[in-house]
Amino acid sequence: MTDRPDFETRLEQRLRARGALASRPFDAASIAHHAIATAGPRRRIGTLAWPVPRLDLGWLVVGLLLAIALLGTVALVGAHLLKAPPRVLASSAWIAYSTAPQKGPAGTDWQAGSDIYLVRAGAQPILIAGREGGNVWNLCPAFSPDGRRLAFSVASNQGQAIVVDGVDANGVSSDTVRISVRGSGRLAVCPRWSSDGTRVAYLDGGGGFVVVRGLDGSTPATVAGDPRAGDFLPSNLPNGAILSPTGDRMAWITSGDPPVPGGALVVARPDGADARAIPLGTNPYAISAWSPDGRQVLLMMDVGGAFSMEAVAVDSPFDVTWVVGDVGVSGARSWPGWGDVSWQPVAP
Amino acid sequence: MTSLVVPIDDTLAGAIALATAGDETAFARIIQAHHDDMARVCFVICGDLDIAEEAVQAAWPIIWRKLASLRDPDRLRPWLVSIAANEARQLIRRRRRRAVVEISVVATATPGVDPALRIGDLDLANALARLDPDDRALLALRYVAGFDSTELGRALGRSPSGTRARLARLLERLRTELSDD
Repeated sequence: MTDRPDFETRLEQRLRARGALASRPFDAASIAHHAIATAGPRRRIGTLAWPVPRLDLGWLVVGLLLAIALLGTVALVGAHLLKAPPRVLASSAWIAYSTAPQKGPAGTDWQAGSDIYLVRAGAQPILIAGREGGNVWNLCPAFSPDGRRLAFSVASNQGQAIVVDGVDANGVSSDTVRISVRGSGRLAVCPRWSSDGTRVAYLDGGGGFVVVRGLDGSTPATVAGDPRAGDFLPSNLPNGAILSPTGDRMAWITSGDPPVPGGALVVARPDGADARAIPLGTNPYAISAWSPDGRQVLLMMDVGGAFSMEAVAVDSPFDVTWVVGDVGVSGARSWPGWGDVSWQPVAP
Repeated sequence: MTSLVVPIDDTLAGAIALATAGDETAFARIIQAHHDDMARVCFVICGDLDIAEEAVQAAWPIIWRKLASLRDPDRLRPWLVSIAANEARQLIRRRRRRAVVEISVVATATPGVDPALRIGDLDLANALARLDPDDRALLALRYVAGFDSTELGRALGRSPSGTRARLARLLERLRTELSDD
């Protein structure tokens, strides 16, 4: 008969022996560096570099309801892990993004300006518009509703303009339109499309009103379907959340805060109800865009000094698709505070 | 001429203070001292070396962010191991959808090793695989990390007495499953 104390002692020995199988050499310095880079800032992330919205009682109530709904209805679900192999997005759609200032050649300071890149899952980013040594800011990419054109803002000492490029399956075509605009000093003149995709609009820097331009450079009168002033304002939803294209959900990211330790994507109705927290295997620093069909969100990460983007499905099974992986941080990285990300609505 | 000699605090308490202030080298010292312990505990919980490694790697960014919340430097080891164990439990739960629980066939066979020991290791692995993640964590923290009842309770969110009772039931179960009578 097995003696009780002996069994526990033997079990402990066997468990210790089993644990010892996991001992292997490791590089503490490398682990530390990666952990610090992955951890992100020691503050709550998900707050974009937008002007702080004016807090009123209404939003305070929304915030409280949101917190209560989150604590009461959160459901932990599975999520994919780090290092998932690259997969092509279901629609092979392009994603356009602008970049932050980057490191210059070795020994030089941070370089100003901004680039625009096109990327799709499984492919390397394509440079559409370059910063030209830090002298040019290319910002606010925006696909037309049919996905066949890409508009973005260009600003330099020579002035400001909105550029519209044609987009095909191979990237940007040579069909380019450049519309000079009057912006407000250094601020970018971010374009927005009319609902029929034939006109672009921007906020005039001097008067703060919406100017509509035809793709032939004309200045037609505004009509129904043209962007309005409210379309140019940043999201003022709580926690830096972004609203889905269908308007029925919002999403934001958390970092190590309750109710989910570690990074999580939270999806809820616009009133904060039905909140679900999806644990992530990564710690993104920003949530930048919804997919046009409202089924995925695009997250950005800085993993060990390499910029990555992944698309996360907001519904089960919460698939994760790498869009851009391991781009050196001195290269193309996108900060929502500097510009925008635009997800092509329909792949040509 | 007098000089002011500032004693260098090279204890782990000093490393914690420096790491909390953002010193990456000090953080690496903490990792050097405890990474192996965390990996062992995670492997007993996960049963898979890759998943265990993933759990430990996932723990370190969390630890970096929360280091300032550690009030008592003497609690560093149980605090670190608890975070790693929690990550391991979460990874296991996420993978529960898999119909087959894979037993990591670790290359432990060495020339001259008694095959009976190899079989025993597989029996233990199988028995662990049939436990839920909380029970695996309980065993790993108690017998691999050497936690006492209070530390176990704190790590698992239970009272010390409740933890002892659960451990006793677990031992009875394993005694039956691993019986060599």
